[in-house]
Amino acid sequence: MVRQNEFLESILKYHQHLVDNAFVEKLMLRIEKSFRIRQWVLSVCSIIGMCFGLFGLSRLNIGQLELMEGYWNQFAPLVGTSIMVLVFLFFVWIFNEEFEKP
Amino acid sequence: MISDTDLIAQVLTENDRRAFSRLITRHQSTLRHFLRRLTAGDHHLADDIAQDACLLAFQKLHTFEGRASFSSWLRKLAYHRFLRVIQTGAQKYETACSESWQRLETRDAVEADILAETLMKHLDIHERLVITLSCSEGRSHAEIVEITGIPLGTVKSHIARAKKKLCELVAAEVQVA
Repeated sequence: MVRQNEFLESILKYHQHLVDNAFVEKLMLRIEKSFRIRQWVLSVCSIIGMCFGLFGLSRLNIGQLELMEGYWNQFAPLVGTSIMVLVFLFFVWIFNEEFEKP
Repeated sequence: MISDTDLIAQVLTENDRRAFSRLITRHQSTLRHFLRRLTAGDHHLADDIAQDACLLAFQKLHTFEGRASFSSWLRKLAYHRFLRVIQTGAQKYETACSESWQRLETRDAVEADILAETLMKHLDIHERLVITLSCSEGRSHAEIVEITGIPLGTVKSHIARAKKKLCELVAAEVQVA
């Protein structure tokens, strides 16, 4: 039984070491390609999101806007700047942290 | 030499793709051999599945918990990928082989590997899987259970059946010679 096992192991073991740089190179190219595709999808989705946001804003009732105007005028620069900074930080985070280049 | 764990840490913390490249360079030979045995010598299919498994490993590396070795985890991904690939054409891989295989004498390592891959044609998929992990890679039953998800008793019976089939084939070949 032991000899039988040894015999089978000698037949079935991996006899050669497969050296193939092309295999690793092809894999790294596929990784790079998948990174680009994800980046592209993210950009397109962001643009679509912004378009829908602008469309929603454009649909706001003028009367409501006038009511908000007085309130808005006081805080507009602050709120606007805060939103811009948050959006900017979000893009910085998502492109540097999530899809960082090596 | 940097350990697998350190290379994985580099990939995860620094997004270092060169570290991943080194990791794959280290494991690609045995992974491809493993898949060549599963596909019974279909080198192109084996390499395609190996590529897919490595790409998946890169994408899912953050889920690697380190309970088993990286090579075991890679085998697990490759085995599941193999099962998905052959789902449509499983019949091809489970048909009993009637063709005679080469003589036991081999001139070099390449022929020896081809002989081993040809032998796999006489086994079904589960037998190929467990006999390769057991005899070719020297993995324990517990590791095989971890990689394949097959119960321990079934693993043992698959190994015993595969060994019996192979020994009968070898004995028949010796008698012919």
